[in-house]
Amino acid sequence: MRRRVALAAGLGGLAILTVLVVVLAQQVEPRTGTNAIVSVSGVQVTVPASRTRCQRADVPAGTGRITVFASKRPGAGPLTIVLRSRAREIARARIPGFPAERAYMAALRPAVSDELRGARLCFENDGSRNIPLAGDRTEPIHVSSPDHDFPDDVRTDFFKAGSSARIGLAPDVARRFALGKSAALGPWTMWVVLAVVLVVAGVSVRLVFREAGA
Amino acid sequence: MRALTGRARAQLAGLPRAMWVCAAVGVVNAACWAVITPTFWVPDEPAHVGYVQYVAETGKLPRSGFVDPDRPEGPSGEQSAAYNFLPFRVTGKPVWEPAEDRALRRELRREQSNRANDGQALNATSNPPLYYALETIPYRIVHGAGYLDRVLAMRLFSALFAGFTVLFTYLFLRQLLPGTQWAWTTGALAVAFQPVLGFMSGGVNADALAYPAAAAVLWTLARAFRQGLNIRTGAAIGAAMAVGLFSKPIVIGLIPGLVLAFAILVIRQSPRRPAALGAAAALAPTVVTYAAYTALSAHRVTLQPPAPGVGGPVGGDALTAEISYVWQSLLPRLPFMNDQFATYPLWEVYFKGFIGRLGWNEYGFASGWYWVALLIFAGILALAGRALWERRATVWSLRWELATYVALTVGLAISVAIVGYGYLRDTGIPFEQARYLFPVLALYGALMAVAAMGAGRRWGPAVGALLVVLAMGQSLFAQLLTLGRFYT
Repeated sequence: MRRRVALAAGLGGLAILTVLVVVLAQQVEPRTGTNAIVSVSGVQVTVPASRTRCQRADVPAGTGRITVFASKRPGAGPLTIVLRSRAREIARARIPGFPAERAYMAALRPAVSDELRGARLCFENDGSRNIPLAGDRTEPIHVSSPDHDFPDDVRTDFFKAGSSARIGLAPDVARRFALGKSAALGPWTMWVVLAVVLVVAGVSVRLVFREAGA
Repeated sequence: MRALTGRARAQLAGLPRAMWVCAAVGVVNAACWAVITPTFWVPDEPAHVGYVQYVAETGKLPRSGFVDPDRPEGPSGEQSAAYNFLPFRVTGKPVWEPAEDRALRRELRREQSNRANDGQALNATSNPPLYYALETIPYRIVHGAGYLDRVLAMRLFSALFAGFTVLFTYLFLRQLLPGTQWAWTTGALAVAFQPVLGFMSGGVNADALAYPAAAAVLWTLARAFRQGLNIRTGAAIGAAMAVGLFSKPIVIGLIPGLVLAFAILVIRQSPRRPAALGAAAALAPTVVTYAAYTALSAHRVTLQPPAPGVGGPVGGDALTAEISYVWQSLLPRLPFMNDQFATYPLWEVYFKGFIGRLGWNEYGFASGWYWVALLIFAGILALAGRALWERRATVWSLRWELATYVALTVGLAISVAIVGYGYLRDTGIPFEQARYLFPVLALYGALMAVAAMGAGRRWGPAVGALLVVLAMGQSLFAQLLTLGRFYT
């Protein structure tokens, strides 16, 4: 009986482990930060043709790429994104056009080496058509009146310069894990939680094993 | 008294050690969720924390809707400070940068003396007080600590209730499936690893107490079906029901099923008088006390009238629309009914929600995983069906008891749909979530246990082990999903 239980638990564990390895080995774009307050914005922020729109930005260290979300606008663009701090240009990125409704990622050159608080991010529309970008703070459900003006910023997500396996994000996750929570927690907490999860799984399997033989 | 204590101690000592281990697994798993989930990212947590804070700081129940120029209504200073940093980003990312974290803590320190305001319980104001009264214990213990520390203390205390949910599930299965101890463990561990149970119990939310109370209702009811209904067993059912009702009003949906159970028990028992007294002992004090509480506390909340035309159910007169809505919240639409839902709730709300819709019900697994889960569940249902068929004589003998479990579930689902209808009509926002059906979560434990038994005497424990490992996987991936959602 116990052999069959061990076999079944082992097969289940192997299946979970396989999925876990596949998921953790997947390449992802490591996000360094975002100004998003909502996942999907109900407000469109337009950068008029041949005009520039600027907003405040906090840019984490290590940022090498920037993403904006745009509606389909064939013929619009290019859009140049310029990052300045204390009136000095730090980096710039360029998106050539907006042929579909999707996220547009562009390399910020050079990559941002130190964290920038209160920097200025400007969107320069170098084309002859307006560029409609997604906002970052107003949920669609709250946009009930088309006449009402909802002050908003362009949603910008920041990423590291290169992609990484999901498991490679673990140190960043551990660091962020403790923020905005009890002072008793720290980056170590995530590792302790993972260890506890493993111990609990072990105890449970042992219990099932013991009960099967009872 | 000493004899009573001795008997209780002997009864406790006679309980299987496996039950305590299962309960401990439930507590630890929920405690992990308490640490993993960012502050205020459990549904309505700001309101529930506000309720506890008000009770703990003033010793009174919160109220709202009173205009007092000297005392503005709304969240407390601490609550607002945390709210400004966190819930406005309810579908975005939490605090990620150390500088932002320091700013949040500075703001909380500045507001730490502003702890009580009328109306700070927000949309939880009308809830009954039992859960919040219990939560004042950890709040008062760490009263001098920071706001986020107090929230964590409350969350960890709440995690204890997950242990009670698992414990009562185990006891329920022990009554329902006598002689198969390994199956009790299978069912109880499946519940212990249920991710939505861990997530909700690891947050500050009155659901956490409603779940074990309702699991206790199922256990005590199963006992009554075996030992007979009398004043003692009836009072136990009533006590469990009272805890549930004074935690979360939605538990009221269990009452039709309970009434049916009592009717069956009274009719079947001979003599009928002890059973009738037992039913009275279960229902009368609970219902009378709850009705009195509801009447006396109605003045605490002055609700705004619903805004007209905000959307909601459609078609025919109000009653027809409501009936149609309730039907479609559980079953496929009939040809003559107006479409009340854009999706099929049994799949989108209840199945997907059960597998894992987390946060403020706004993130979950990639859609393909729900189909994988459906396949696994189809296998579980097939095994459970086989077990029931093979034991059809026993099932037939238990038919009335099993009918009451079905009635409890249907009653609960209908009451959720009725509340959902009103909520949608008044706010335009859907109400239904899988967690509202968790008061009958012990039946999920029963399903898992029976499914394992369906694999037969030789393979049953092995399939039970496989189901437990799969439940662990579900829990682990839900936790990883949460890490990914908030911290990457």
